[in-house]
Amino acid sequence: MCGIAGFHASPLHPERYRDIAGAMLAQIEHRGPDEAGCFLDDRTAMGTVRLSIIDLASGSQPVGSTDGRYWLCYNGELYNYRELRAELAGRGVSFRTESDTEVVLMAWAHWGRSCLERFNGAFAFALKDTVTGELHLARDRFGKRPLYVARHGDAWLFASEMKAFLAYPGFEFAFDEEHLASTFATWTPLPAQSGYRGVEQLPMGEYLTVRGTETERGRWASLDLTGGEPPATEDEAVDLVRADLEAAVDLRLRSDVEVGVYASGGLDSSILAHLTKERAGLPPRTFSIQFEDAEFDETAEQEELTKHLGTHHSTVRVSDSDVVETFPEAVRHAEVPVFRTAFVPMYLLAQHVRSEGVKVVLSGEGADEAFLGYGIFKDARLLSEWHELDEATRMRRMAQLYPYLRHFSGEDGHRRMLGLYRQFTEETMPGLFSHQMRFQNGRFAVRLLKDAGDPFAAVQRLVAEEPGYAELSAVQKAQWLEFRTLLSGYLLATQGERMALAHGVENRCPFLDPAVVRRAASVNGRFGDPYDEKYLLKRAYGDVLPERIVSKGKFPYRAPDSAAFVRSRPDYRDLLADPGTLGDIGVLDERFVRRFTDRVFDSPPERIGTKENQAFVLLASTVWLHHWYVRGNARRDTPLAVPLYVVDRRSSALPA
Amino acid sequence: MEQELKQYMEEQFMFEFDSEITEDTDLFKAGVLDSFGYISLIGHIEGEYGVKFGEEALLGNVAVTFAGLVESVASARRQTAESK
Repeated sequence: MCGIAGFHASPLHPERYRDIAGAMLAQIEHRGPDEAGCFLDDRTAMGTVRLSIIDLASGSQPVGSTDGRYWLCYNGELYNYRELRAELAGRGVSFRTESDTEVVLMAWAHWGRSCLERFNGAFAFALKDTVTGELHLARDRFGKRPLYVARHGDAWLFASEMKAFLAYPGFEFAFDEEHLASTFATWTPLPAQSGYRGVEQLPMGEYLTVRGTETERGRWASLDLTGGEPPATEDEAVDLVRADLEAAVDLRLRSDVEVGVYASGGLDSSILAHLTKERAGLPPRTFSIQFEDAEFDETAEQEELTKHLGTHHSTVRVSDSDVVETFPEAVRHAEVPVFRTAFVPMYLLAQHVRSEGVKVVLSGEGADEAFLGYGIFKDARLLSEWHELDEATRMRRMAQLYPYLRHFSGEDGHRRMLGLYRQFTEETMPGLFSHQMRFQNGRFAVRLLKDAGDPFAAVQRLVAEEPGYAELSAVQKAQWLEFRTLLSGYLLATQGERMALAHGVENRCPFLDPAVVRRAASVNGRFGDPYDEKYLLKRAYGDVLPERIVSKGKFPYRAPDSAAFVRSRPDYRDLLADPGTLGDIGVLDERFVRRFTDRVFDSPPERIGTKENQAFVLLASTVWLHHWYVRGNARRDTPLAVPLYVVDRRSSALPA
Repeated sequence: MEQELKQYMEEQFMFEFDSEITEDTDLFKAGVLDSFGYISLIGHIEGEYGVKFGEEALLGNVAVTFAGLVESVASARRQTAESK
């Protein structure tokens, strides 16, 4: 794993390129503390900070093709690099290293952009074609690795993390009101959003080519949720799911360093821990979070799993004050507004993993989206069938939806839910039927913003412009939205790789192997009770995992939100409602922010609901983002700790 | 009862009934009510005013405006009285 940063078509004098590229890379050195290198010519400066995982000795970057035409700065892993390398070698391509990076480069040199369709990996890269002068940027199909692009005058800036832009002369961050409104309402930035004006995220599965003053954009991978022909029987489906997951784990155990597993105590990560032991032939090291607050803690399940598998297990114990005290630094790494604090313990976990000498972990992201693990998929199914069901069936379904939420429990809770759900049985937000309840709930946080406009305009545009979206079923649309919002915008990004890479730990997600996602699409809803989440996964691994883990049911990973701040840092009331800060931020509604913070700090925690908690964390993260990015305090002035290797193709460097 | 309920809602959901949010405003669309808030509100009304909303009231699509809530309470009270 690595980080990349650079710029193209800058009006600055090329003499300055090396220092600027070095300073940009220094901002993201946490992503790749092992090596740093950059490529410079008269139009482009781009570099990589490298975390050595594969081919430790000779996998340095930037890497250039043998004819010197193509240069690559690459962040990520290409899991099927050995197969592609063999295929390219069969076509006469020679390689100088054993690294996956060189395979990416030579695949592009050989097949051009269409090489992307052959890639199974987590990646984002910048590739310079020195013959055409083109700069190509591309990102993996699910958005596992980040790539931000900013315009600054005529220049194009790009980087794995936006903080690199702080080192480009004259660049300043300013909040984008439309991005913020959409994020506050829908929980996460949308695929192209960053939260800041003039900064976009290259969406998952897309590329951007800069050619002179022109640009070309497109999508190389779409999200296919319709699935192929389903297996004939449930047993066959179980065998196929097992085979695909084994292959996905095998590919992700390819590494020249040890691979650990994040084991939360939930079903998905337990499957990965089991498979890692089976495939690698010995129990892996496992890592997990324990909470002092019993409401969030899953220690009992973690202990049962790790004892069962005999893994070498270690934990990091997290208290309220750990969450609150680490929050600012975790937000600095998140870079975008956040709606819950659960990413903060992941920052502490990655720190622990790295201190144990492990720099690659498998984690369970994607299982809930691919195999329909979330309550929102059951919501979508129930709401789309609502008018055909009698009241007794509706009541029975209610009990299956969110058994872990207190306010939705018991007969009274289920009866009251009927009235709630009834509000959402018609599509009033075009294309967003499955998510209407969630998004309506998000309207509360939007009240924190001044002049928010229509916070759903952007997400409605997103689905309206998506080819084939209208033909999907209600549950598939819900899946599509989860892949494109919560998964890529938060779980993979803020909670996943941004926290892991803050400490130079690379996360790998076997459930997001393209073959696994395709298989899931072909079996979902075809076998078992569709209101029994992840039915087939439970069938496939029920006999090898502890009963307690398989039968527990979905227990989302969460952490203490506003209550942690109220209990351990009452001074946050003044920090969040400080008139000077709010005036400076500009986009927040000062009157409502003050009223809201008073309410949170003056109420007993049981009176604070989900929407208040989310609004609180969105507010607190926005205040810190203003400090770090808009005011520029995230900038680090210390130079790279490792030497910067430079491939210098500037005119000034050429022999006279 | 109406005044008490208004006061409870204003305090609980941090808004004021005024020219923008009236007794006929859809409180979900206004960002006032969310799932948790709705369930809490129905629980509060049932506990405070001694009524139990049946299917008709809950499914009648009226319980998301203040006026609809008040009408639902009145209707539930009538039914309770009739059944005694």
